[in-house]
Amino acid sequence: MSLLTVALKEFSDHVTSRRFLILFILLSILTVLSAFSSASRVASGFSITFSDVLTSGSLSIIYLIGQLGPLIGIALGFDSISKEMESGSILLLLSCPIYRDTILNGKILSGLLTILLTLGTSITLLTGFILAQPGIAPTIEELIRLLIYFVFAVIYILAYMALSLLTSIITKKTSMSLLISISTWIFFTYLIHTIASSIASLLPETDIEGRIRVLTMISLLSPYRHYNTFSRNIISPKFSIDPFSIFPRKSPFKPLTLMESLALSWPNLIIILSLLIIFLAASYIKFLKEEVR
Amino acid sequence: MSAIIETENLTKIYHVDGREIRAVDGLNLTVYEGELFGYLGPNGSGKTTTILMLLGLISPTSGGGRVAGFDIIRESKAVRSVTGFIPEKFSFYEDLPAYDNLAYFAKLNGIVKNEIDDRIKWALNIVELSDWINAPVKTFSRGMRQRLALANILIKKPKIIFLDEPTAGLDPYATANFRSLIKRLNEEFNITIFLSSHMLHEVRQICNRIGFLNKGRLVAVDTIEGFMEKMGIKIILEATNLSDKLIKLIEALDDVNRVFKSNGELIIYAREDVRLDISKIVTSLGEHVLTLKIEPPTLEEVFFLVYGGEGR
Repeated sequence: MSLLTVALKEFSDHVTSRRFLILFILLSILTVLSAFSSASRVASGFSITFSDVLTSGSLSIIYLIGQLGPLIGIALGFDSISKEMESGSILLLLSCPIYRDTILNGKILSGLLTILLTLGTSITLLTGFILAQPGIAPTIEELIRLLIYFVFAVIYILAYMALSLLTSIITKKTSMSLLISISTWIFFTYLIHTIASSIASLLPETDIEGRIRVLTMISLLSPYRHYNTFSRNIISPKFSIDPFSIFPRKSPFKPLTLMESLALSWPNLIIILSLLIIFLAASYIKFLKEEVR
Repeated sequence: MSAIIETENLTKIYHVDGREIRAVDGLNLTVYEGELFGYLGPNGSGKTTTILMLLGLISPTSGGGRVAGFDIIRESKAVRSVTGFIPEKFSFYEDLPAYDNLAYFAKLNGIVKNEIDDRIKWALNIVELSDWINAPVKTFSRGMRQRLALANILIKKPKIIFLDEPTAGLDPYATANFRSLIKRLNEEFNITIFLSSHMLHEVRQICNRIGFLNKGRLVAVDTIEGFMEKMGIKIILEATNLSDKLIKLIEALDDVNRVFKSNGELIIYAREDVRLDISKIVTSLGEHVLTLKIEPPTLEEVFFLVYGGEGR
């Protein structure tokens, strides 16, 4: 009961907050643009399937969620505890006869609901536009693949929310929490590839294999890479990107079945899921042991 | 009267930068049902830490206690269901109206849905905020927020209310208003009040009994009258010369506890009326008595006696 009370209040705060509305509207607009861009490709005579629309183009849904998803996650979590601590409302909350984890559970549940709403709207919009404009209908398997991607994308965004929730608890300062969360996201999404290239370039030019190995190993630290690999593999049967390599598998091209795609990509799913669990566990441990003064 | 708050060697030690700070040190305290108990101490003396431990919001390093019959460590949730707390620094959700804020906390306090509306209106009426029921909290003055916090607590009909420096930052009118409200809650609803403050005059005005806390230790507990009695008789002497010899001779009297100079007067605390002896000493030194009178000691003097003239 208390869990729902906290979750509904937080959910209401999220969906009426300016920062969420900006991100929500931005994602919706970009989703519509993505649909229009695919419509224009169909109109240009390309023969494409439903899954092609979702995975190709510079504004594919995978790319959009990959870029904006972490921002949505961070926006939902970076001040969730620090704001309560800074304002002093945390003491009013904690002096109620509820357990501390109820507060955290409520905040996580509200975050999950908000992510479901955002992502659900975006994917529904996209599917609707693709059905209406180019007139491409998904097959049952494509729908199942989209559903799996949807769940995975929710986990990916939740992982970033959990990260910012943790920084919010550790720093107790909203500005610091935001700074750390955003820096982490930028580092592991963008800077890490530059760093990987720089380190790889230290190896002799002739050692191409060594350079690729270094590049691959470092880029595997990026959650975005795992998101991208899993998403492409799961949405489209045409993709068979090796989960631990930056290249497609060497096997001759042949569309994968859903089970084959899952069997290929599960390590990426496990890595993102592990990040979520680690951040959540650390948040619970820190918050439950926190001495409010 | 039965005890509603009891602590036994309650201790909280913080480790800050490698240093051990005993915020609360072996606290043995009993507060009785229906009391308006003043918990007095300088800033940093451990008042807030005590309250947070009593509410089960922080764990004691050692010792324990019971609040309203519940163990503060093992039954902290039950403790919080029968107590209310207004922290020194707190905030409601500023953009939400008073009603929504109270309804939110009422739900978290386990009030059944069909009672929430009535209880909110009843509580807001008591704190005289009925007209502000739909106003966002951000439009409230500090005094109104304090009263709203009191309404927030009243909704759950608590047995004990913990107030931590409740009038800090309030203007004189709001302060007086809030104090009378506290007294009313204590008298009309028999709610035990545990008032933490560093303001002596505040505690003196409304509390029945006072505990003095210093550097985490409870140094004295008594009623105001009890403290006055312990202080003894206060005698004020003005003479033509208040020499050191005169002071030593007065100090040597059997019934005299303490003698000190203040603003050209000699203040003497004694167990008995020793004015006649003092008068004789002054005359024996060839001086003249200008004033020799008895005055009741003030609580401020008790305060300075307890703290030796300095806080932490």
